[in-house]
Amino acid sequence: MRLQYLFTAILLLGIACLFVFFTESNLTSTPLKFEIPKGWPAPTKNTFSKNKLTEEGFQLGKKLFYDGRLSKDGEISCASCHQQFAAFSNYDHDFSHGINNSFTKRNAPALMNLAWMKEFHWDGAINHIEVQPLAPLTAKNEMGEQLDSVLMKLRKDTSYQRMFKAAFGDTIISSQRMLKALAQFTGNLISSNSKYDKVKRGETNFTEFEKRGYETFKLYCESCHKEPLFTDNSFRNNGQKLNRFNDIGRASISGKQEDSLKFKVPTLRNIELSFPYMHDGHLYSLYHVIDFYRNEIDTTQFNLDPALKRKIKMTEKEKKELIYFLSTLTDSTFIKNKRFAADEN
Amino acid sequence: MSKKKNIALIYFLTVFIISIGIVYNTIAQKPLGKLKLSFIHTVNYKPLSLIDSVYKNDSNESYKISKLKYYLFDFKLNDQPIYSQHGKYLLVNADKKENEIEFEHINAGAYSTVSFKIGVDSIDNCSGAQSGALDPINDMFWTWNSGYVFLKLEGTSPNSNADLNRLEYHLGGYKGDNALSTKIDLRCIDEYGKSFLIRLDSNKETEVVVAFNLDNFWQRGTVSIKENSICVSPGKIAKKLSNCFSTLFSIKSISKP
Repeated sequence: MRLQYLFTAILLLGIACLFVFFTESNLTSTPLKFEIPKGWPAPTKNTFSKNKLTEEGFQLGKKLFYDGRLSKDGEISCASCHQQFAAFSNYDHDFSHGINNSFTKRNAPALMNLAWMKEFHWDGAINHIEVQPLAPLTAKNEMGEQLDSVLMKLRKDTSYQRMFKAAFGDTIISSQRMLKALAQFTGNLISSNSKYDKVKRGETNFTEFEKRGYETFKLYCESCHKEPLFTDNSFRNNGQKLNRFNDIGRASISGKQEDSLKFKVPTLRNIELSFPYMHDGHLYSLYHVIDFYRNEIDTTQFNLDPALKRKIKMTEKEKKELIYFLSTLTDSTFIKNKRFAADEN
Repeated sequence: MSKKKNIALIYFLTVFIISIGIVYNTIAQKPLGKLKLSFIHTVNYKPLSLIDSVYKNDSNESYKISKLKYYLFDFKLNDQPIYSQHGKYLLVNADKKENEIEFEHINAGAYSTVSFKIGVDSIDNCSGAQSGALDPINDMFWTWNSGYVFLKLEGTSPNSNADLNRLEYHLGGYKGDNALSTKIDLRCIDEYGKSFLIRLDSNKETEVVVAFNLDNFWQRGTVSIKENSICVSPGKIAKKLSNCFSTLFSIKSISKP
């Protein structure tokens, strides 16, 4: 009889061991839920499909985002050119500064709602949020570093060892884990609490000006800057002239002539904060941008977007009202959210 | 009392079922063999040297090689997939002493073809950060235009028009017309045109040595260094250069188990 108890005990112990074995790795981290703002479409399918969101992964990603050690000279972090107060664009810079006083050749885009994007960069060269950081990290005019040397720096730091363990179960610091953690941070930068969003949720109302500006927006801009993300994430030729770097846009990665001078339609969310505008930052204010669409579109280009063939005929009054509306897309809770800010230590 | 009996019964049944499973697995198994594929690199009928050896291509252009790396996957015997604990991909690096991959649990028997693909599966080109052979740390990932370099060949040649007489072929591409991944079928035919078989015996390992013949890269003179010294992005030129893929490999030898 006692023997039976013993056998049962051994069996139960075995089952308990198995249970612990299979769940232990999950016990150490706190799952993080990705909240889709009300009325928004589902995010891009593969954004997080192989990247389990956890609070620890997010915090690790944030630490990496703000860490200058990702660059060769230790000075330039992701946040150097993606500043929170500028909706994670580079405030007041047409081009950003890389190591050795170098300059980039395209304007650093604002970072928000990236989980809804399929392709990244002005030309869409990057096909997944996880591999995007490899581009600035290794570019000679940005962070100028090599992946293995970054990993070596991180491995020496005990706080990273601790954070990788908290996020992934053990202290192994690999490129895959680093990139997944960064994606957990950048993919969670959601801006959905502007005045426009509050109006849509019925919490407040537009002023008369803003309301008329919204009508103007729907008339002239909505076809590309689609609500609620204020971009359709497409690539279009909007009639800019070839710049001094001979930047042909998407054609440089596709090799197709029809992609010549096509660039990504950027979001208009937080547009007030992300000046200067266009892929090379050559337009300094929203007034300049709207005037460009009214007067300066190069209509001779063979693949100019059909919607712009006759330029945009907008009155001075409509222009002012439109700018009032665009300022309702500024999300002050997003740029002040401590969760997205560097930890103070 | 009956409860305790039940517990005892469940326990013994569990032990019994597990034991049967173990016994069945050891006795009733089909005879299974192992295969090892080893890759060697040759040029002008000699082993490829990455240090200062000067070679000539079909267009009589001389060149030196400093780097040769490429990805292989989707290994098959007689068109049946075979699997390795090593993972899906083998990153061959001519600079390494040995480039080999072992496959286990293959039905013993005689096989007439080995095949594999050169490149990286399109899905693995666009599914985010990868590990193992595909870790971007291996320097085979285009950081500025997402996707893997399938084959990297670097060196110098006096016929190159590029800076420092460089030769740089980074061939890859997974999208549409620019997709380069190529299936390579190796029939077992010896130098006299006689076919032979690869025999896998139970619990023994058969080694097949596959040679990568760099001479075939130049496609019988249709690819010259003068016209194509550099190709570092997917596109038409990469596609043209990749036409050599299907002719690069041959079976060099088979060890008898």
